[in-house]
Amino acid sequence: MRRFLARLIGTARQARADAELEREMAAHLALLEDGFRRRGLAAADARAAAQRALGSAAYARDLHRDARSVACLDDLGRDLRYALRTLRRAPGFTFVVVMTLALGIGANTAIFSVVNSVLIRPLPYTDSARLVRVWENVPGAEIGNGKGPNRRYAAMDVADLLAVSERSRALANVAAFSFARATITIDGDATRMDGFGVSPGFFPMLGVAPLVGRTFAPEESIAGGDRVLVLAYDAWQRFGGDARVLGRTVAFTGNSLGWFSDGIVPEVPYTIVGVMPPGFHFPYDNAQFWIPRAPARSPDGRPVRRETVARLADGVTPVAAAAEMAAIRSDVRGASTSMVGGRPRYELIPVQDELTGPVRPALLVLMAAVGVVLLIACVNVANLLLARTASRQREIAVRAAIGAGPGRLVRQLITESLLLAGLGGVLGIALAFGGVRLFRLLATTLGRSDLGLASVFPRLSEVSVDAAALGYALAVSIATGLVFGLAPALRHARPRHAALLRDLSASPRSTIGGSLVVVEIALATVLLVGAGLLITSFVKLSTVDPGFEPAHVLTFQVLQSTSPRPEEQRVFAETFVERLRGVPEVQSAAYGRQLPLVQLQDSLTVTLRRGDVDVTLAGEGADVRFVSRDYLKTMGIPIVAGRGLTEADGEGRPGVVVINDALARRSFAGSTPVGQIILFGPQGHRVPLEIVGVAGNVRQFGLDRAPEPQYFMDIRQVPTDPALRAPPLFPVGAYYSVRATADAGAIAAAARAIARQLDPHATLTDVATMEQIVSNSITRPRMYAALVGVFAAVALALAVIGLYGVMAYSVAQRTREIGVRVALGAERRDVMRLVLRRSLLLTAAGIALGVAFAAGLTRYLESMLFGLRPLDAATFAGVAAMFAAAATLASYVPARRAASVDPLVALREE
Amino acid sequence: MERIEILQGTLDLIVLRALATMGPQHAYGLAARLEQVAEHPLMLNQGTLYPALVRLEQNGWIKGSWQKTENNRDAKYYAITRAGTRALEKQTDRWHRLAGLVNKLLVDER
Repeated sequence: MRRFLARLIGTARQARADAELEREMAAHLALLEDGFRRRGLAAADARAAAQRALGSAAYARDLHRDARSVACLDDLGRDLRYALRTLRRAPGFTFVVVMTLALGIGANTAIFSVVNSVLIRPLPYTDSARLVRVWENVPGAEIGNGKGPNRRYAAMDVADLLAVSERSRALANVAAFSFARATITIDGDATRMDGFGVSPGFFPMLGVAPLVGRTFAPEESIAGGDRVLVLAYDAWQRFGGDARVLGRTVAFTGNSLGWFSDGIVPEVPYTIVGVMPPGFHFPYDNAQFWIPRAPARSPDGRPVRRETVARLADGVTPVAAAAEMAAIRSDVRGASTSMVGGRPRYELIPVQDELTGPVRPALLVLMAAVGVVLLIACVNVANLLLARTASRQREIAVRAAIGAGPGRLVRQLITESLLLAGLGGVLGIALAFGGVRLFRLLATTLGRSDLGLASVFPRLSEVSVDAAALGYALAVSIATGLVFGLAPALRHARPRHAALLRDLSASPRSTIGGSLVVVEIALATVLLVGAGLLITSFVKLSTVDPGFEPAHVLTFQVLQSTSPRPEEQRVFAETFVERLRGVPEVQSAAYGRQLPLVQLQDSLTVTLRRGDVDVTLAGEGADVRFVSRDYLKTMGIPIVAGRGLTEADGEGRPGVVVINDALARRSFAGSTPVGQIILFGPQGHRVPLEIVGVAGNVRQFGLDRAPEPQYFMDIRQVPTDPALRAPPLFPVGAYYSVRATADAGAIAAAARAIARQLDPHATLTDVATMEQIVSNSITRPRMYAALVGVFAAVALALAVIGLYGVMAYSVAQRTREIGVRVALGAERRDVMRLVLRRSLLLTAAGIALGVAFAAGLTRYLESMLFGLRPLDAATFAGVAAMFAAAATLASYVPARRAASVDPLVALREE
Repeated sequence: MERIEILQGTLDLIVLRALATMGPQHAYGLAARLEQVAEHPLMLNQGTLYPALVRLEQNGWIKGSWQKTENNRDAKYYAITRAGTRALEKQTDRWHRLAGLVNKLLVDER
């Protein structure tokens, strides 16, 4: 201990101690000199002899320094300075190594940031690991007329919900919520607000305090006292972001009969009582406000379903809680099916898994991909370092000869590689910031809930390079520095000094370089195969025929400041579209309750009239579209038989319908559908519709999903009388579509002006071209293809550089041998063949190894692929061929150099 | 010329012993003395001697001070301290035991 203290002090007082030692050794030298002179040597000889006798002063000083200080601290400084000098002398080498590492570390840090932000970091709610979403699997025997298919609901029957929240011990809390869509006019502009009606336990369960004001009191969930609302932070900003917003009243407008009105009464004042902190958007990203809403059974006894979130009691597993819920249900209802199609009645899924589950496999694939890139980078750098250290043999031998111990040499080499890794790490972190921005750009969607959650990336707004990611980058840098630095350090730190000083050419040819390149090529092949599959899949997806012509079509919704009834909405839409047609550039304009790729599904069973008998086709639903007569024309959906909807159809005229090809093939196989009758509406209210035409298939719910049976009704013929129990005309408002020759911005401006003529506060919302909507639907496949593609490109480049490096180095080392061969009569061709053969052997081995690995790994991509299998032969072959070509190109230059070796020069060189 | 490598750890003992019997010495004096005792050039380069001196001084077993030699040159003289004397006794003891053991082993194995 005492020595250690003395050493620490010694480290601090380096300069003084050095001077002291210098003086002591000078004295020693003088004494020696005196001695030699006494023995009769001349002054100069005596000095020389003394110096010889004293030995290497530098070595003594080094050892002395080691003895008196904490050597590592002290050496570190010197090693770093030395390493910096060395690297500065080889700027090309340094640049390549640092860039290689920066790419590896940067890609890793960026993807780790995403993985950490999305999968690892807990959700910002109290003890969020215990929050679960409830799914219910319902047997077909309990649905509709008792003959439906088994279904899986994200919502619970309210009767069961109430029983469970009363009796459950496994659940600490249960809360229900339902979606509400309304319009609020702010500063004269109608503004869409999506929100949720939430049960009293909702906010306390999440444990997030409001930023301003309060959340709901229990009595506010009772009808009549429920005219209060809490705003999300961003909605608050639209109200000015001022605390004086508390107590202010707002009136919602909108269709109180829509599916998503959730009991909001239009045109009555609601009081703002609180504002949630930024980023709080439970249960979905589109949440702009919350209103209190106690789950209640419907008065007419029909089952009501509510989405449910629950908090598990301490120590209870989701499976145990689900079993208890099923038991409570059986208890309350007498008996009930507890297993449905092999699955339990209830399934509780942690909220975070529910949210991030769809992207988890892909994120893990990306993480693996960047891991491979980093491995390749390390291998590449190790290779470069090996080659360089080999060429530094003489320097190392000299250092060893003047007294550097093997430990010091290893330390020096490791310091150099850590310094390189550190530089790479710093640059990599900068790249990671860029990479995360790129990721967010690639993952950003139109952010519309009506286009489906499949394209929205969960927690995207939380994705950032945070402290954890920086720590990760640091750890990765150090680890890589050690990994790629250790091999050359151990290999060369014990040089055969004497031999090396005499003859450098005696060093054996390295085969390590070769095997490293094989590994590198194999890893890159795996990535390239993955990227090839994803890219081919994306190309297939983006070139698939959607069934409509998305170019030149603009779509939007119109928000009104009033609360029109469904038939008034239809009148508004008719007038609006009529005026739109008057705009010169507009070729056709239409409206309807949905658009292609809008995720609103109304699947109704199809009833056919055969002769005098009505036949309901069991289990054969078809998706119903309520559209204006120009919809098919505007969307570019072709009519393949009969006619489309026309002006002459309409209210009061005989009912007509256009079915799609899929429905024709399924339900009218072997007969001509045109002229037949199908029946629309619930039993007792059926309306006969004559099939007048057959339209082409549309990929309604995603480009990756096969077209489903559909039929198109003229929206003017859809009954709006609630007594007829027809589905609501516009559950989320009408969608307009315009095909025009002018650009989208001009058409949108014209549409806005027309809307303002009809309603002075009207605004356009969800404005997007059909091309944007199509592109939005394939955001994730595009992102995966782009990211893995970039990583694979980097891997390919690194592997080719690695191969080039090894070949160039081996040619340089064998210059003399090649010279001898040429002198003995070898042709240029022979020499080139010699080099190319080795390179091709390495490449072939690498590709073979890589293909074998890839064949075992690509099945993890299966869920991300469209239209091809994980073992797609064409992709595998293409990648192998591409790699072989790139490798040949990379080894051509060294081969040429080898072939042009001048034997005279080569032999004289030594 | 046969080289005798000094056994790890024994140099400290030798230096302490030399200082104890000869009184304060400078490094050159110590080196000369060791060569003389060894009767043939001990492979004792300065690189070994100086760290040993530092080590001993850090342990507080010897103490260095700048003095004039008989030829009026500056030199750092090292003297054994009280702690050094105690350490010397202990180390000598240990050395004898170790040497005895090694000798015995070597003789028995022969």
